[in-house]
Amino acid sequence: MMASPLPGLLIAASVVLSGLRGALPWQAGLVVLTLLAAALDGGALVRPCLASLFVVAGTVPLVWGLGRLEDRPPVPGERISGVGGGLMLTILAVLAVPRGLVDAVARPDLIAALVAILCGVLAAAVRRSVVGQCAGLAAAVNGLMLLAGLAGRDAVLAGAIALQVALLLVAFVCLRRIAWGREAT
Amino acid sequence: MAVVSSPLLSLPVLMPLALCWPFLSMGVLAACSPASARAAATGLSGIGLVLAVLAVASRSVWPATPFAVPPGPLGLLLPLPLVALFLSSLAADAAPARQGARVLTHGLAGGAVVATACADPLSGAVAVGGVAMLVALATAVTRGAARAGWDLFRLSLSGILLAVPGAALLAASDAAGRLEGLGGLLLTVGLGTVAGLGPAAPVVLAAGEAAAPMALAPVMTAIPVLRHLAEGPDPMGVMALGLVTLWLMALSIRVAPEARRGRLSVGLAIGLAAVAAGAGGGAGQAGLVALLLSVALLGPLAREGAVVALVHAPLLPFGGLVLTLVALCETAPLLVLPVAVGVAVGSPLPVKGVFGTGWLGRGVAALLLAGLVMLVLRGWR
Repeated sequence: MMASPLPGLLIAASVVLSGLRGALPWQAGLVVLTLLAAALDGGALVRPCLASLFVVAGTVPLVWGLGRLEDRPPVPGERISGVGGGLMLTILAVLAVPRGLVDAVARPDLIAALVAILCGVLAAAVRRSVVGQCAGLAAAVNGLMLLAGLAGRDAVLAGAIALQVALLLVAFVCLRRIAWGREAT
Repeated sequence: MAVVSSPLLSLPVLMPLALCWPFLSMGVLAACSPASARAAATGLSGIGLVLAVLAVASRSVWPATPFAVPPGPLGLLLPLPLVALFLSSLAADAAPARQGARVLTHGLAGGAVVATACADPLSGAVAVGGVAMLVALATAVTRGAARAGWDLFRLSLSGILLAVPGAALLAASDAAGRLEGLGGLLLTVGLGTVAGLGPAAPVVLAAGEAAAPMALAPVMTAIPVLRHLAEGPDPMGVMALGLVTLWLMALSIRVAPEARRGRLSVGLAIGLAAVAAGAGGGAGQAGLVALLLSVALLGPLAREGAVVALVHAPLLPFGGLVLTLVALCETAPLLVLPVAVGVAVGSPLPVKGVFGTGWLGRGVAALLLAGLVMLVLRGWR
């Protein structure tokens, strides 16, 4: 087993790019690569591969659907709140996940999953555009998939899949009505 | 575990039956003709309530699953979602008019009972998430409510995305340490967000303005969430969330029109119940049960003008308030003053009656009086 740069890249992508619909495929790709690397290192293949499959299956239609909606780019205040808050959350996650209690190789993966979830939720809270909010939530669901694929129980993976299905359903029904101006934003 | 001697009450199928009944009712209601749907909904919810009460009386468990009656006084929380469901079926205004909404309300109550019965925090968080997502999905796909539904969905999903990893970290960490602290914090904040505690309160209560089943959402999510937070690892966080909710609701009640005060008073009582859950101990748990029972009884009548009167009527909510203050005196005396002032600020004199009009309002008032008498008698003994 050897240390991999993928968790670091995923943390950087989560802090800087959460809440941007164009960045969602890159973040999802990093999540999939991290899951596959962990599967190859750890020997347990089924759960990480299943989680990777659902990350791809959830992200592809969402990226296609969000690409068809009108989006407003984040204003400087949203960017500062997102990146600054993301950096603080990253520092908190590094401090909160102690050395020794978690395996030395699994620790960066756990921190990366937590940062992806927290930064995604933060982006969903600070972005005004519904497309950006949805992209943030999708990034957070991908982080939960990573957590479930790495170390979670079957209940977490089942819950993450259910959340992804719900997000797809609401995004396709609800965001279309809001973003196409049928209802007040 | 107390075992009741009656063979009827010690039936092993009681818990599975009590948990599955609301979901079976969904199928029956979906097949009913619209003319008989309301009577069927009332009868089915009444049977479900009786089954849940019997399961609590016998301290029933579902073997080989995490489902059991919660320990101690928290066991009384199990039938409360069905109390709210039964009353909403009886109340003319609160009863959903459409067949689909009526079916969904039964599913909502069933999900809340299942989440309350979960002994495992991780399964409980997943079940609570299911309840919240059901409400948010129902709101989001309602014509004309896309924006409110999206806001509620965003809030619920964010809460679940924090609560589930929190519960997973708690389950993963064998030794007490920072990982457990992080898990407890994420679980508290996530579940609190799902239940509309703290800064999330206005969004949940705004969605409650819509017709049932969304109107019952604050009640149905608060009961399982506070059951889990009462046994959670972060009591100070729960008290802080409760205090923020209480003050948000109290300040809103001062300026709200008369029609909205009932719903806001439900939020105020849920905030106070969160403070009681965080305070813990015998008095705190009894106060939590008393306040949530009041919420379950008065929540379905809030649209008819019923108010959860914490100060002006010597009934069960008043008993819950006193018990919460007693519990706070033991665990966090510095919070007694802000909680008491918040309740006083959020309890303006009711212009009309406290319970609305009609036989249902009078019946609920009698039940609340009986609840206070029971509380006093148990405390005295």
